[in-house]
Amino acid sequence: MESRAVSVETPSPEALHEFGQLERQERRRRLLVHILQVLVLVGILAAWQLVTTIGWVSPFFVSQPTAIFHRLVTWFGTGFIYRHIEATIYETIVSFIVGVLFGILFGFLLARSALLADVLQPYVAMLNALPRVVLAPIFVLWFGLGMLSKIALGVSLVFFIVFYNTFQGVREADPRVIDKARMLGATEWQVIRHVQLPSAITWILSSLHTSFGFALAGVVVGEYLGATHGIGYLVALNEGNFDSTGVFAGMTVLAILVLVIELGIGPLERWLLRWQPQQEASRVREG
Amino acid sequence: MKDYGNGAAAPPAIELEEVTRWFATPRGRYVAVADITFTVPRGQFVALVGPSGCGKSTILSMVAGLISPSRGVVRIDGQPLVGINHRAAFMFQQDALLPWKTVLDNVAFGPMLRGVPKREARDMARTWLARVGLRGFEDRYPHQLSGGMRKRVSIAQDLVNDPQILLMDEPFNGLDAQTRTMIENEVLQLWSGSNKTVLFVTHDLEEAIAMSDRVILLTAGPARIKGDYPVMLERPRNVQEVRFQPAFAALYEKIWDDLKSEVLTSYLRQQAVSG
Repeated sequence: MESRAVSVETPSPEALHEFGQLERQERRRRLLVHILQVLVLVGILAAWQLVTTIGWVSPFFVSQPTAIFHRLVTWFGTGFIYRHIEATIYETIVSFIVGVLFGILFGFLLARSALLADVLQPYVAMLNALPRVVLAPIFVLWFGLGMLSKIALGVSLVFFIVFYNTFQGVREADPRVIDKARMLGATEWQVIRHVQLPSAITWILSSLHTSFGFALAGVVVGEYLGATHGIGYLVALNEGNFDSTGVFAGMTVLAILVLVIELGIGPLERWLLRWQPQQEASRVREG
Repeated sequence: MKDYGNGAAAPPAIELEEVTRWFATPRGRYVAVADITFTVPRGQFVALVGPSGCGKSTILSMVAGLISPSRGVVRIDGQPLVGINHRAAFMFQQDALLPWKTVLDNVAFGPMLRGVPKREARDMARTWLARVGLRGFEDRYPHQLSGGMRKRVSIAQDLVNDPQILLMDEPFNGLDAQTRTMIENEVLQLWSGSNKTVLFVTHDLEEAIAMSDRVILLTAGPARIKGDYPVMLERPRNVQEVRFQPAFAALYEKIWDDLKSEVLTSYLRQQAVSG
């Protein structure tokens, strides 16, 4: 049957030309956006520097960009900052991984067992409604001033996000695809492994951005409330000395840290979701 | 044991004996299928026709083993069916491809689930993809294909397991007219000489007559058997051309006479529900 052959269209030269033009336009627009982004930053810093120099606002409260910059140079130059960054990153990564693993595990258990889900539902909702910051003193009591109490706080935040997304993702798995897999010969375990887990992955991934941010937030709050290391501790220390420059410098380090992490998660997500149509994938990234 | 005539004859591929299926709903028991009895000999292509929502799909799901009858027995090759019917493939209305697997891995999925080593499963999948005209599309993902191509992948996915029974639930709905005719012909071609038994649900009477050896007409829900008509048209058939034969028209008229009152009943009921 010749009619079966699927024709692959070759684009015409005109179409290619038009496509090239659109691409150039798009590139120019992106460049413009980048330039404006830099200008916004420069503008804010310049205004900040100006109002504090001429004395409209006292540098005591808001510090000064140049002072913050010098502080950062000192921190990085003397190497003083590195062990704090290391502590924060380490705690964040551990609490992220532990929170994600527990979240996926429990999300799966509850999604697969209607009884378990019905029984535990109010307790899960209650724990999730609890502002996690109030757990910090308890965790310090249980796990001490070291890393463990910070990790616990991070986990308590990450867990629920991943848990809810996994639960939802498994529940949303297309029942037709599950039936199909069963007809093709899948055992229950194979249904989980080949249908429900990949189906939930979209949901889990859509929570990665948020949950990594929460892991960091939990860890930093933990450090802030009582620690011996970490950027949160550094901020608290400088705050105690009424040193706004130190507080802002700590914030800057945190912000850069988050940006670097975001840059790493984006491509990972795109790779894991490469089977999705572009539109859906971008929706998930924003979600 | 049931006696199928002279002992030597094989039991029918599919047998439903006084099968009833109801579902619990908030408003009480809803009977989808009532007291159905019929047999399908091995290798026959049977169409189940009836108005929309009459319980045709419920019958297929019971033969597939996805749901069990509330009363009565389903037998496959003479054995009462328990659990999933592993001799059958089930083709749904919408394709149920795994969006995160490539076309090749979608087709290799069935053999892999059944323990065939990955390489071998992929080789089988490649052969079947070539057979349905999709050579060169192995590395695509389902969302990158047209509806017709996805349907072909679906067909390959089902046939690669070499099922003895094919259950099809309005599989060609939603395809455009040309693609539909083409794929109908391809399915007939793949089926011919394979000795596979087909149970094909549709509400399109023309499609039913054009493709099958026999049409079973069901009443508006709960499904009961209203008529059973042999289709005496020559094979191989072209579903497009066979419609112009006088025998086709005569049979169409005969079945339609019985069907239209059921369609009307079903239509009035839907009006009553929505009105």
